[in-house]
Amino acid sequence: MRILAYILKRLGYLVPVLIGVTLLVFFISHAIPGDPARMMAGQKASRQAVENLRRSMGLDRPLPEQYVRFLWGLFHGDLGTSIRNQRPVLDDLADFFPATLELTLSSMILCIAVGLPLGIISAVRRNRPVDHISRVFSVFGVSMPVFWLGLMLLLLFYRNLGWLPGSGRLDVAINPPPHVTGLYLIDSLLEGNWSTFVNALRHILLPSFCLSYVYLAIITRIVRSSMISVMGQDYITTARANGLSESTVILKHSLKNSLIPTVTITGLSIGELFGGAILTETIFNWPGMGKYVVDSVNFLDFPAIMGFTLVVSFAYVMINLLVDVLYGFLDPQIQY
Amino acid sequence: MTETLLDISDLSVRFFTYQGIVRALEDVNLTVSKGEVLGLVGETGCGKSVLARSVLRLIADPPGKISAGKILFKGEDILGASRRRLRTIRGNEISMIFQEPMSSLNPVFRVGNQMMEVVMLHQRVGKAEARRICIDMLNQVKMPDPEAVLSKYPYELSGGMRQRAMIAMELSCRPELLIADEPTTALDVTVQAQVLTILEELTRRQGVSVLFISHDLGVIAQICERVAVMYAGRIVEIAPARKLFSNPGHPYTRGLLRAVPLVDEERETLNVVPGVVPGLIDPPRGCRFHPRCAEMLEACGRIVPGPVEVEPDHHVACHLWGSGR
Amino acid sequence: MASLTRKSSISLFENYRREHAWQIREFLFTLKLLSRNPSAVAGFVIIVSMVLIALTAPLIAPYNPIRISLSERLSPPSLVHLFGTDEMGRDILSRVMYGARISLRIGVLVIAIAGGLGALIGAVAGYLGRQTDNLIMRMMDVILSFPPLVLAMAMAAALGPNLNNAVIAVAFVMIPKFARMVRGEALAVKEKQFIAAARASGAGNVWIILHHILPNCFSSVIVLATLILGETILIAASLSFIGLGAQPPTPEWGAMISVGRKFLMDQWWYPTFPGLFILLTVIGFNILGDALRDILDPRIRR
Repeated sequence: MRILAYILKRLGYLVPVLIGVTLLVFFISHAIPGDPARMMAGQKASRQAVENLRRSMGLDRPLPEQYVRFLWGLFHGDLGTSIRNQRPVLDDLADFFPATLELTLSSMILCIAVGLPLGIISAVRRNRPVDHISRVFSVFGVSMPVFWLGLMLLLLFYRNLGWLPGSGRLDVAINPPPHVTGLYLIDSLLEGNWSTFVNALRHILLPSFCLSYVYLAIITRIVRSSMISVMGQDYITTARANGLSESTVILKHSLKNSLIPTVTITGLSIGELFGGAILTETIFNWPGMGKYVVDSVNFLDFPAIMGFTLVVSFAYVMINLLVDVLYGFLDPQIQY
Repeated sequence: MTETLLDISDLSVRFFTYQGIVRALEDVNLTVSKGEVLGLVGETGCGKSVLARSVLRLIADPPGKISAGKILFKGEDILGASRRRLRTIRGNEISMIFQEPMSSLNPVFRVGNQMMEVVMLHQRVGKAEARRICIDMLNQVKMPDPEAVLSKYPYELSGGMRQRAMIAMELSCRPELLIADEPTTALDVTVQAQVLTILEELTRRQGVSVLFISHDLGVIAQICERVAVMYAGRIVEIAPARKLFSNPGHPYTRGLLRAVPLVDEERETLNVVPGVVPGLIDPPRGCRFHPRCAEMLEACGRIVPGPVEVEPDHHVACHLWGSGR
Repeated sequence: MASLTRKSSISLFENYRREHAWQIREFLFTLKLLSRNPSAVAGFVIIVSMVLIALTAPLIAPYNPIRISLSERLSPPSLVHLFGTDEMGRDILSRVMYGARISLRIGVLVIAIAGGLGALIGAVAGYLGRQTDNLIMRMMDVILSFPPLVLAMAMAAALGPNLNNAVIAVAFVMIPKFARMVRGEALAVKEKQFIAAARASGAGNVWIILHHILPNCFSSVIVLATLILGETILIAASLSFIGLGAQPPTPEWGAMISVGRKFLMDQWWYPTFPGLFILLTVIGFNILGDALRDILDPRIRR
C-alpha cells in the first residue's frame, strides 16, 4: 500500500499549510474594524450585554489563546455563529452545499466534455480554421468577467428568446424531489420524476455554462498545447511508422501522455470554480454557498464569511492532494 | 539477377520554413536489392534521416513536401499509395528503427502492450498468440527474461535493451525491408557492438534487406555490403563496401576516410575536411561540395555533376570523373 | 588594500555594464519581434486606447460622470447619450470612460505592490535558500491555498468596503505568484559566476539581491505583470460587483454592473457597456501578455 504511504506523506506536508490557512483566516477576522461583540449583540444592546457577550466569546482573552479556542472549535466543527440568523455557520453551509456541488459538478462535466475534444481537434487541425476559432474562444474565456457573461446569457436566453428560466433551481411551482443526495438532477431521476428532472436541467443549463466558460477556455488551451507537444515526440513517429491508424495514434498514444498536465489544471480549476460560483450563483439566484456568502458580505456577517473561506480553502487543498495522487496513476515514472 | 526491392528515383524533398525553402534532398537515386544491406553514410544534416522517412512517407506536411521523384517498393508506387495501403506497409512490409531508443517508445504504456499492438494489427492474431510471437522475437534479440520485459515500462529498461526491444518489435511482422536510422549512435560503444551483431544475425536469418544509416564509417564498414555517401542532400558516391574503402572516388569520401585516425598513427592534429556543411536554404550552385573541395574545377561551381561509373558498380558524382548523366 | 577594492569595484562595474549592453540589445530585439506579431500589436493597441481614454477622460467625456439629470433617466443609447443613461440620468459613456481611470489605476497599483513585494520576497527566498526559502515558500503556499477571489473577498470584507482596501486585498492575493517566479529565477541566477565574484569582493547579501538578482528577473516580472494585470482587473471588478471595493456612485465598471443588474431586463444597455469594456481591457492585456511570453521563450528566439 505504497499509495497510502504517499498520501500520508503528502498530508504531512499539508498540515503546516492547513494550519497556516487557519492562522491567516484568524488574522483576517481580527482585522475587522469595529467591535465584533457589539456587532453580534446588535446596536440596541446595553453595554453590559455586550460585555457579557464579549466574555462568552472569549474576545477579552489574549490573541494566542483566542487562536487556540478557534482551532479547538474547528476540530469540533464549530465555525462560529452567523450574525444574520444566529444559526451555526456550519449548518448554514451544509444546507447550501448540495446546490453548489450540483452546479460545480455539472460545470466540470461540461468543461471536460467540451474542452477535451475541442483541445484535441485544435491540436490535430493546428492552424486551420477550427484552431483559430477555438483560440479566439479561449482568449475570450480567460478574459471574461463571469458576472457579466451571466447577465448577457440571461439577456439572450431568458429575456429575448425565452428558452430558459432565469433564476433558481426549479420553477417556483414545482416541489423539489425527495432528498437523497441533495442534487436535484440525480434525486429526480431516482424518484422517477421526469418532469422535475427536465425542469431542473433547464434551470442548471445557463449557470453551468456561465461558470464553466472560463475553465473551458483554459482546459481547451492546455489540452491543445500539451497534445501539440506530445505529437512532436519520437514515440509518436514510431507509432505512425508501425502502421497504426491516425485515430489510434491520437486517441491512444498521444492522449494519455497529454492527460498529465490536463488533469493537473482541471483539478486546480475545480477549486477555482468555487470562486466563480460566488458570482454565478448571485447572478442566477442559485441558492448555494456562493450566494450565501455574498449575502453575508452585504450583511457584514463576518463569521459566515470566514467560515465559508475556511471551508473552501480546505476543500481546495484536499482537491490538490487528490490531483497529485491521480497524477501518479497516469505517469508510471512517479515512484511513490 | 537479384530483384530490386526499393527503387528511389530523382527524389527531391523541400521544407517550407519562415527562413526560406530548405532543399533537404535533391535528385536522389538509390536502389536496395532483395537481401542486401545498403549503408547510407554522411554527416549530420546531410539528409539521411529525411531520405529514410520519405520512404515511409513520414515527412511532416507542413512544413515538408516531397516535391519530385518516385519511390517504388516491389514495383508499387509508394508516393501515390492510399493511406490505407500505406498503413499495411508500415511496420509490416517496411519497418523502421530510430536513433533514440530513450524516446522512441511511448513512456506511458508497457513494452508488451506496444509490441503486441503492432503484431495484432498486422497479423490478425489474438492476444495470446501475439504474446507468444513477441516473446519469441525477444528471445531472438537475446533479451534476458522476455516475459518480465513485456510487462515493464520503457523507463525500466536500459538503452541497449530498449533498442533490442525496438528491433524485436520492428522485425516481428517479418518485413522485407528494414530501415535503420542510426540505430546504434545513441548507445555506449560496448552495447553498440552487441546490438549490431544481433541486428546483423537476425536480418540475415530472416532474409531482410536493410537500409542502414549512420555517420560512423566503422559501423558501416562492419555490416554493409554496398555503401552510398551523401552530402548536403545529394548522393555523391555509391559502391560496394570494399571498393569504396579501398578506392574512394569522390573528394568528400576521401576526406571522410582520411579524417578517421588510425590506431597506430602518430598525429598532432586530426585531418578534417576544411569548411562547414552548407545551409540548405541557399546551397552552393553546381556541386554542393565545391566550396570545400581542394580539387575543384571550373565547372564545379556551375553544373551539377551526374553519376559516372568509374568501375563496375562504382558510381561517383564528380566532375573529376566526367560530367555523367 | 584601497587599490585592491577599487580594481575589483571597477571589474564589478564593467560586469554590470556588459550585462546592461546585452540587455538593451535583447530589449530592442523583443520590441522588433513584438511589432511583427499581430496579436501583440492588437493587444498593444487595445491597451493604449484604454490608457488614452483613462488619461483624457476629463477632456473627452461628453458629460460630467456624476451629473444627474432625472428627466433623462434610463434612456436607451441615442445620439445624445451613446451608451444610454443610468437610473439617475447620468451618461453611461462618460461613466465608463472614467471607470477606465479607476480600473487601470487599481491594476497598476496592485501590480506595483504585488510585483515589488513579491519580487523582493521571492529574491530573498531564492537567494538565501534552505530554511528561509522553505519558510517563505510555505507562507506563499498558504496564500495560494485559497481561490483568489475568495481570499480577496474575505480580506476586503474584513478591512472595510472601499477601493483602497480592495487594492490591498487583491495585491495580497497576487504576491505569491510573483514571489514564486522570482524565486525560481533567483535560484538559477545565484549560481552564476558574477555572483560569486561580487561576494568575493565583499558585497553584502542585500546589495547582491538588489543590484544583481532583481535586475536579472526584470523581463520575466514584466511578462508576468502583463499576464496578471488582466486577472487583477477582473478580481477588482468582481469585488466591486459583490459590494466590496468601489462603492456606488463611483463609476467603477464592476460597481456599475452591480447596480445595473437590477435594470437588465428593460434597460439592457446599463450593465452591458461597462462589462464590455472590462472584457476588452482584459483581452488586451491577455493577448499582449501571451505574445510577450511566447516571444521571450528561449526556444522560439533565434
